[in-house]
Amino acid sequence: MLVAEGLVVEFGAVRAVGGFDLSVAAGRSVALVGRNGAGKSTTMRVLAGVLPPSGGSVSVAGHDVAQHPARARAAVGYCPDVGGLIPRATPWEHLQLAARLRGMTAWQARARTLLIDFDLEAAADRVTSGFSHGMSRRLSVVLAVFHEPALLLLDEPFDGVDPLGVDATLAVVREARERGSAVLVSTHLLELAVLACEQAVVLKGGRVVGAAPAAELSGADGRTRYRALIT
Amino acid sequence: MTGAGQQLLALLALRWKMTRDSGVRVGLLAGTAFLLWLIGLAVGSAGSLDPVVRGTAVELAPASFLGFGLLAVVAPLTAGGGAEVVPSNQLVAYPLRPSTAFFGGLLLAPANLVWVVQLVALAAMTGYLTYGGALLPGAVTAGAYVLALTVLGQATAWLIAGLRQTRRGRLAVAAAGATLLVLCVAVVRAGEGGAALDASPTRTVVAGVVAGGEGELTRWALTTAVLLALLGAGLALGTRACSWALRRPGDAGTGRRTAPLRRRSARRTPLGELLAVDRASVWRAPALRRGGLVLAFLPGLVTVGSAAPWTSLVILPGLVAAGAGLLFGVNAFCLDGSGALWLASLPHDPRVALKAKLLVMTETVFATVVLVLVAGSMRSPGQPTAAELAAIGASAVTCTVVVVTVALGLSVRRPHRADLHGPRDAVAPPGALALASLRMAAPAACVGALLSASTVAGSWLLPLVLATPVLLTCGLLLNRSARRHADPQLRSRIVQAVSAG
Repeated sequence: MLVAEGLVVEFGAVRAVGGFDLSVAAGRSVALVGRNGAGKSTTMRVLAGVLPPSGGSVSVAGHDVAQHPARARAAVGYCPDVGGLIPRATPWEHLQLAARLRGMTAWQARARTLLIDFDLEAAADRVTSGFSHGMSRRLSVVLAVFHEPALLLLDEPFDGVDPLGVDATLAVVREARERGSAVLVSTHLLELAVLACEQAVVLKGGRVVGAAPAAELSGADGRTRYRALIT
Repeated sequence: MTGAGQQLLALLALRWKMTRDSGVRVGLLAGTAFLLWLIGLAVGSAGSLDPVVRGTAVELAPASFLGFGLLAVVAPLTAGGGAEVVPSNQLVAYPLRPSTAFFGGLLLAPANLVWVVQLVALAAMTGYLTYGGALLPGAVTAGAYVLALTVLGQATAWLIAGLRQTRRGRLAVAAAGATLLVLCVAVVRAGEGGAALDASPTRTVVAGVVAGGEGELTRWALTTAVLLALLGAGLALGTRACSWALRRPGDAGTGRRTAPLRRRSARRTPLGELLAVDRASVWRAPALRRGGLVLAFLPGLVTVGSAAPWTSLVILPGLVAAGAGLLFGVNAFCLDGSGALWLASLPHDPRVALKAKLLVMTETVFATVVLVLVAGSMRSPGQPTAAELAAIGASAVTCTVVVVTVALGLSVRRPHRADLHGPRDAVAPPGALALASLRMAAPAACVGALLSASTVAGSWLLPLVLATPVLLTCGLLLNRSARRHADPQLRSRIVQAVSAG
């Protein structure tokens, strides 16, 4: 579902992503973990088609992101790492916009269900600039999963989110996987990455320094192994 | 805690360091040098004027000084008290004194192009008033007037900003504003506008400037001393008013951010949806809403009061359009905020998103221009000729297109992050805004002046002929901006810039 080869991202003299391959098959979930500045969010932005890579290629659901950006984006649901919300639009207006740009019909029932699941129903018609950080994160996840994408990209979806929000996010990740979607979750919260995903890819300095079944990074031994990889 | 002066210096140094673009730095320095040169030129222009023209200009001096005084209150009011050297939401962790905010706003007064234009006009007036006598004493009085009114204007603006922190205060300010408006209209309708101007206290200031030029030292010294006393009082009042306004717990804005809004129906096309979201982003931002209303009503009120002739109305669109372009046009993508990241991941044609921004910008600028023209035409003497009507129409359309063209070019090439949550939030840093206002106002004012001059020929066709090449050039420039925006690398830079934080 997602195939990235030789991915390189450079900002002037700074190499944020240093040329690695990454793939996520349909129905699988992979966690992208690492310290701050490891290149996780930059990678996610490239995969979402927001940031063109300096080198390498990305293919989503068989569509090259550079050659067919619209087709690739149609297959992607992306929750950015910061905000990701239009400040003076309401959640319902975000959903209306997403539905129109994605050509969705009869989307209202799905939208209402998601808002209820993420405890945002009461805030559906309030502008998002008044939202708490946790509410903003939850809405970003709702917008990413809204159209049941073939590739779900969640960048720091658990950051500042309360336990109920975490549960709701874990549930939509599980549902997406069961539906046959590929899921990539970028997070610095190792325990939640282990809960959400089957595989884990560890990034350091824009390079892949390790990959393992997520379960192997759980517990005291897993944490020790993870620390050894990122330091 | 360090003093306000030290804090302000630190903020200015930070602002300068944050201005990464060397073009903006050079532009700011060149702009300052140009302003000083222009003031010198204006003061020295008295000698080159015909004595009759100079006499007419001197007669207009009290109105000119009064105009500056009005602007001194309105300009900081549109900025919610005063412009900020560094946005306050980026400084919440620092123990900043309220007086630092007050003095910062004062220091940024020259970043307003209209303030600068009025200052140059006052400099010219001072030259005319002291012609043939001593310039320095008159200039000191005029300088004291400029400083005193700028400080008092800012103090008043902070006072109003403080009052507007609560619902009751907002109602009181609105009632006072409406009463003032009705009073002005009533005075003008009663034909007492001239008498009201004659009673303006600025006559005393003008007399003081003249006394300085003629060597009447007692009158000069008294006027100057009163102005300096007002300056001192303004500083004391202003720092207290600013402190009160910033510390006053209020409900301003919070209601709008937490209250549910009426759900609108879905639009039929992607462009329709993007337009609806962009329009809402403009009118739900307190700073943009207030700026738009002031821009729409104040110049209209002034033109109603002055009963401007039809040919003068032709110049108006250039000035109003440039002001309206500053509302958000110079950084149009900031409307998306951090949502730009999410928007960029949606499957849509980027040209449609650009078109939505362009349309919202155009309708905002054009609506403001039309409102001011309609208000201005209400008391214009006589019936307009076909040439005047054609020139006014051509000016409204051409100036709007010129401003939108410049603004879109700046939006694409120099995007900035701007939250626009609070009443003092601006769409771009002060220096960038000052340069942007110059870049929009200069061509728009030239177009207005050219079309105004064309009415002398008495042909309705001439304004249209003159407007055509300008519109074609704008079309080419707009196309260039659209081509730039089509580049995914540049679009990603815009997204990164407006969503940073």
